[in-house]
Amino acid sequence: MRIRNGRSVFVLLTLCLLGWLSSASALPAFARQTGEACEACHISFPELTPFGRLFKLSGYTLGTTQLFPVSAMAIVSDTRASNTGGNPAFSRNGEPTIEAGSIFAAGRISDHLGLFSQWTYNNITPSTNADGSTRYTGSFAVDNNDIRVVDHIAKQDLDLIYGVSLNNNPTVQDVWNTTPAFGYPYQTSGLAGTWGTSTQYTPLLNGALAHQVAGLSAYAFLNKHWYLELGNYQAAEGLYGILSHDVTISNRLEGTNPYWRFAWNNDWGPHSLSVGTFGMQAHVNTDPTQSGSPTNRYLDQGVDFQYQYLTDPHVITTQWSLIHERVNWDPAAGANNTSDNLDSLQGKVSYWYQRKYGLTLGMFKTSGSTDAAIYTKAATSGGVPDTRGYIVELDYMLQPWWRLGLQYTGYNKYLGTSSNYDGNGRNARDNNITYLYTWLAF
Amino acid sequence: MKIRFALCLIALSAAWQTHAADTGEDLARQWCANCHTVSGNSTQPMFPRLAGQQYDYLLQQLQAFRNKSRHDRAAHDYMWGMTAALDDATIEGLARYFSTQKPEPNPAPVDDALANAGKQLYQNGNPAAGTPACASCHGANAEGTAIAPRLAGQHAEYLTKQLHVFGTNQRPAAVAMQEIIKTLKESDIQAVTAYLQSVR
Repeated sequence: MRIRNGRSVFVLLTLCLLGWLSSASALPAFARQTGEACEACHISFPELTPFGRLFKLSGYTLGTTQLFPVSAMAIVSDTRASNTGGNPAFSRNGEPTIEAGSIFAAGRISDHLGLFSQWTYNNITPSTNADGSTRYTGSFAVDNNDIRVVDHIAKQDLDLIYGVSLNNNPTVQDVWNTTPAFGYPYQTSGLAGTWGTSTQYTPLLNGALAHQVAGLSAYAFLNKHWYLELGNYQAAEGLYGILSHDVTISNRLEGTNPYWRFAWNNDWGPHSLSVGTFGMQAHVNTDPTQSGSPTNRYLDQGVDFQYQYLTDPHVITTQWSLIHERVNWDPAAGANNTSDNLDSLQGKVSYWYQRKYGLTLGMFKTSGSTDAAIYTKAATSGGVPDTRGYIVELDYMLQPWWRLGLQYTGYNKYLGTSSNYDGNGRNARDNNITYLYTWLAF
Repeated sequence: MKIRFALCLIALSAAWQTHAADTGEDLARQWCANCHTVSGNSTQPMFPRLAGQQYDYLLQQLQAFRNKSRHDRAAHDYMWGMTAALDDATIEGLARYFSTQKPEPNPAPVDDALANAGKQLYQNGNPAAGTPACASCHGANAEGTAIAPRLAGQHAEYLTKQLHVFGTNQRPAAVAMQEIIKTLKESDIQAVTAYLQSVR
């Protein structure tokens, strides 16, 4: 399904918003189902509180089954690059843009079955005009999906939540906001992504398989401390084809691709702490259109840490993750090395006052092997993929479901160098982005 | 094929309904425990300690959350939703469960001088300001009575917040407290809540 006119989507979303605000106390599907306020589950969406983690682990089943468990969200923004260099590819630089809108079917189906199903209309799907400028059209496709069957045993000395998640994005099922799918930054400029000025090379787990795979994983959360999850991913096709609906497969998984997650969590007083590890072994076809083509073998191993200090009115949270990736290349990949490493470190600290005013300081750093045949965009540095930078973000919650954010992303190094990374005099800091956005969910 | 798969999943889940939480105790352990802990001795000051709380008070409050007559912010944000679908039997079961849990001393430190001042106010009131002795309703050791809740060991932060709520119309059932709060200064509130948190 394709919707050609972005304006019609905007009108549709606006009508939905106006209709729902008056009838649903301005709360999305989960809030309507549970009767809880947004703040019960979110520090500020999508970051989860301990109660939000319990709700997700319990398969979104708390509350009353809704006849119409549907929500929507929309993102409108203004992106400004530090320096466009007069390049027409930087289309809509400094122009208000309706980036995307999503529809969710989300909530409890029965006592033991629940789902989170997101479908997104991307209003800035790019293509290139003859003059080199970027043209944007809209396209509708599947987004994050997580369907769970769960049970919760709660006895005097035993608290065990166990279940199975069927999802289409490794780590989307995770409840700590340290892993890629729901990790920081929670929102970045879609335009900057289309301009090719955001980080180019990150580990496979960092979103490269999103909405292209189907994974089934079993998990258990014991006594609110120990979390263990084991699963397997495959290409989302055949029976699972709906999980990659209208998504172009760029990374096709072959055969068995195990995923694991292990974490220790402790909530005490106003504090919540977790440390963990996660990872995946993936066999990715060298030709994404050909099942059975040779495969590159990825091993992504991550460690993560989260701390939350939750009081009224002060909240401080911090999340960190480090992913180490090793790829053994098939000769068909044409790599200069038989294997390459890529490390990605991400972290942020946030302060919220009254859950209304937020300040976040973040950093990101990727570094890896030198391989000019793989990291082709880093030709000037001879194939060094290293990129590092920082994020400063100010947030204001107009409502618990409506955020206004001002985000500045700065680059100290880009594709292996701080200056002249493209051979035409463009420096890393020229990619700095000022991003003003509003994100509302209803 | 996809539709059959989905239908099988839903049918399987529907057939599994019998294990759902259906008593107050199950509900307390599965959901309430996340904020109040299994024993009701919450360590998070945002959420009250319920262990050993008066049965009648718990019953009254749960009903007030369910019918939304108690509408302070925390009630709205958390408890309206938690109680919306509860029937009377489950509410009674929840009240029974938490009222029979053993209250443990609150380990959070308090300022001794502040707590001593609070103890005076709690036991003797302040006749000059028109403040009655808290003990006259809440019991000599703040253990609660048939007409007033247990306060011993309660988080000072939670008590402070509730005392401020009594200054509004958000807890209409607390008729007596709406009058008493008019006689208290902020320093009185800090003192008496520090004392109550320290009571074992």
